[in-house]
Amino acid sequence: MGSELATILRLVAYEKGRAIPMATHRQVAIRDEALVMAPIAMAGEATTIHAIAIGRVGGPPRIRVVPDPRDREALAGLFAWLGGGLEKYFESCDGHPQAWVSSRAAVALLDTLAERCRYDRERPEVRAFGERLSYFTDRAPVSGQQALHAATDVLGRHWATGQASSEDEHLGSFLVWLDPPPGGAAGLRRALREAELEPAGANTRPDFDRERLEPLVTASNIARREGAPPDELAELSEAIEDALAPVALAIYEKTQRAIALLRGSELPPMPQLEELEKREADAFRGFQKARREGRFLTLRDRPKAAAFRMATREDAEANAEASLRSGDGVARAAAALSGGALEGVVRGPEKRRRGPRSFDHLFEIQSEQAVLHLREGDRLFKDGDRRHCAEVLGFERLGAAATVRLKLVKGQKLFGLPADGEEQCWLSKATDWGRIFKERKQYALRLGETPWTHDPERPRPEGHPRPAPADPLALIEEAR
Amino acid sequence: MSLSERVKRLRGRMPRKAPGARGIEKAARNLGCERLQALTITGIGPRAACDAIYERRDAEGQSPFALGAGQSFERHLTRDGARVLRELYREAGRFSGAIQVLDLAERFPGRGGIAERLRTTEALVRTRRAGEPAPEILLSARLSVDIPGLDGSIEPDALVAEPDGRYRVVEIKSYADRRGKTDPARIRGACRQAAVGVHALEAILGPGAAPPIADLILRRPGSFTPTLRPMRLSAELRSIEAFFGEVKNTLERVEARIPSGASLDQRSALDALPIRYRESCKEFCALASVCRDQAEACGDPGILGDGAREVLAPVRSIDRALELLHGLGEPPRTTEEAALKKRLQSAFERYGKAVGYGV
Repeated sequence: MGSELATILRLVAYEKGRAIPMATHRQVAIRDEALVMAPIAMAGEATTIHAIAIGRVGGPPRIRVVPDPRDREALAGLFAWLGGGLEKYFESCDGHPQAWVSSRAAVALLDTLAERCRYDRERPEVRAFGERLSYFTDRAPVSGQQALHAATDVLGRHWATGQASSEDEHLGSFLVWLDPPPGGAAGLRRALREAELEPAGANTRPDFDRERLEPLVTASNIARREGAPPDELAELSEAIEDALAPVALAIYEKTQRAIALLRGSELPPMPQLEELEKREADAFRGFQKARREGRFLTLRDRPKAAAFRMATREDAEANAEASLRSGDGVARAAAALSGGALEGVVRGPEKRRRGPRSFDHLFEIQSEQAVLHLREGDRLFKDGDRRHCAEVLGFERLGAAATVRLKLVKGQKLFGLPADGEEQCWLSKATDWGRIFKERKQYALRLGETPWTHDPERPRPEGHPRPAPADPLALIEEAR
Repeated sequence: MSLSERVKRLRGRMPRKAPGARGIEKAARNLGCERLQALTITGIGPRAACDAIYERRDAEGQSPFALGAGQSFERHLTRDGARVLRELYREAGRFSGAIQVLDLAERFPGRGGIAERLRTTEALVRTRRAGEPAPEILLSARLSVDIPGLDGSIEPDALVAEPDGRYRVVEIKSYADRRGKTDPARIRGACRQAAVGVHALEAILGPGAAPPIADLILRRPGSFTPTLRPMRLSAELRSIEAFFGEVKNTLERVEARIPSGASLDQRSALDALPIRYRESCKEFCALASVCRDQAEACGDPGILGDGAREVLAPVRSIDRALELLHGLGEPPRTTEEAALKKRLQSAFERYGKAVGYGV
C-alpha cells in the first residue's frame, strides 16, 4: 500500500483511538479445520520448543511442555508427538492444510525447526515431523499462499492501527487497537503498555526467565543428574509446566482471537481467493506426491530448481498484487492514488472502421486523478481482467483533469465498446493464472541442459571481442 | 577542567559504567540523538537512566538461557587449548602449520589483570606487525577505547592473525547460522561490535592497522559445531568512526544545553537533551518507550512510523496534520501545507468511498 494512504489511515486510527478497516474484502482464507499453534522456544536455543499450545480454529488447545528442551531425548519425544498430529491432520484435511501462528517470530521459529528436523539422521519420527512442518514453512514466503498465516500479518492487511507498523508485530498490542478499553487516550495507552508486557511471539520474557523459569529448569536438571526419585522429578517437571503453560495458552488465545475478529468482521471474501486456494491445493498435492515418491526437500536448491522456484515466487507475487488491486476496494484506492490504476468516466466511445471487416474500438477516460503513471503503449486491464485489455494511445492533462485515449486490444467481441458516461477502473496489472504453466514449460526446455554458467564441465562460449576504438571520446562526441 | 573532569561532573552521582563494544555500537546507530550520545559518553548508559532516573523498569536484558548458551559455546571453542577453534581455522584453510593460542585471561586473571592484558595485547599486536613471532590466536585480549573520562576498554572475543602481520577481530555468537536466513539484525549487531575492535586496533597502530573484515563465528542450528564467515565492515567502521569523532562535540553541546551546575543524573537535564526518536530505537535502546511517549507528547508524527514522519514532514505535528485533513483550524500556511492538505483529503475521500461511509 502506498505510504501516503497508510500514513493517513494510521493518523485517523490514532485520532479515533481504535483501529480502522483497511480492506473491503477478506484477503486470506480461513479453513474451518485449520491448526492454531503457539510454540515457545528457549532463549538462545533457536531449534527448540520448550512449550507449545496446539489446537484447531475455535477449539481448545492441547499443551505440551518439556522440562528442558536442551535434553535431546525429551525434545525428540515432543517432535514425534507433534509429527503424529500433523500426519493425522494432513491425511484428513480437505484441499490443503492450514496453520495459524501469532506473529512472524513464530513463523521464523517454525522455519528454523523444519529445517533442523527434516535432516535428523538418527530419528525418523523427528525427520517426519520436520518434513511435514516444511510444507507450511516452504509455502510461507510465497505471496498469496494460504498454508501458514501469522496473525499479526493478517490483521495488518485488514486494519490500520494508530501506531508504527513495527509495533503492530506484537499481537497483544494489535488486539488492543481492535478492541480498545474505555477511558480515552489514557486508557488506551495504559492497555497498550500492559499488553506489551505479555509475550505474544515465540519467546518468554527475559525477566520471567531470570526470576521464574531458569531456577525451575536448573532444579529439575540437578535432580535428574543426582538420580532423584521419579515422583520428585515429576513434581519438578510439573512446576515448569505450571510456569510455561499459561504463557503458551495466552499466545494461543490471542491467535484465536485474531482469527475470530477477522471472521466476525463479515468482510466478503476477495473473489480471487478461490483461485488462490486452488493453487494451494495444487501445491499440497505436489508436496504429498514428492514425499510418496521419496523425493527429499533439499536445504539448498540446485540451480535449475532455484530457477523454477524463483519463477514461481515472482509469478505468485505478481498475481497476488493484481488480485489485491482488483479484488479489494482499499487496495484499488491505493493503486489509484499511486497511479497504478486509472479511474474515471468514459467519453466519446467510437467504433472506427479500419478495413473491410475490422474495427478499432476507441474511447476516452476522463479522470480527476492527480497522479497517473501512463505512457503511450501501456496496456491496462479493466478491473484487472486479463481478457479485457486496452492500449494507451495518448493523454492530455488540463489542470486537475486528465483525458486518456484508449483502444481496446482484447475483449472487443466479448465486451464491446463501453457506454458514454460509464464509470470505469482500469488497472495496470491483471492476474494471469496460466502464466506459470507456460513459464515452467519454457524453463524446462531452456534448462534441459544446465547452462555453462552453472556447469564447470561445459565449455565457455568464445567471446569475439572487437578491437577497442582508437579514440572512444571522439566516437561519443560524434554520437551527440 | 579536563575532559575527564567534565565527563565526571556530568555523570553526577550515577555509577560509572563503560559502554563496551555493545554500548558503543548501539550509540553509533543513532548519532543524531543527543540524549543517547550523552548517556553513553558519560558512562551512565540508557538502561541505568531508564531504571534510576526515569524510574521505568525496563525488564529486558538478556535471558539467563541465552547468556548460558553464549558462555557454553565460547567455552566449547576455547577450552583444551582452544582445540575446536584451532580446528575450525585449520579446516577453513586459514592456517597450515601449528596454531599458537594465548589466553590472556589465563595469564592475567581477574579484574586486576585487565591492565596487564591491555599492555600485553598492545605489545603483541606491535610485535606481530613488526614481523616478529606472536601467537596466531589471542583470547581475552583487551583494547582501550578513547572515550575521555571513561578509561574504557573492550574485549573482542578473539584476535586472529593474518598472513600480513595484522590481527583480525573475531566475534563469537551462539546464534544459529542459517546461511542466507540467519537473522540479519543479529549479524549486523555482531559486525558493528567487531568494528569497534577494528577501530581500537587502529588507535594503537594507526589507520589500516586491522583489516576491515571480521570473522563471525556462529553455530550450526541445534549443535555446538561452529561456522566461520568473514564479514566486510566498511559501513560499520564508518559509523563507529563517526561516533568517536563526535565525542568532544557532544560533550560541548550537552554542557551548553543544560543549566550550569546541572548534571545528567537529573531528569530535567536529560529531558533538555534533544532526542531523535525512530522506529528502530526499541531494537537497541532501553529508553525507547520513554522517548516514544515524549515524542507523542510533542505531537511527533514519528510515533506512527518513520514513513509517517516523512509523509507529514510539511506539518511536523499530528494535530496540525489532523487539522488539515478535516479542514479545521488555520488555513494552510505554506504551499507545502496546502499541497499536503489536498493529498490528505483526496486520499481520505477515496478511502471513504471504498469502505463505504461518508467522510
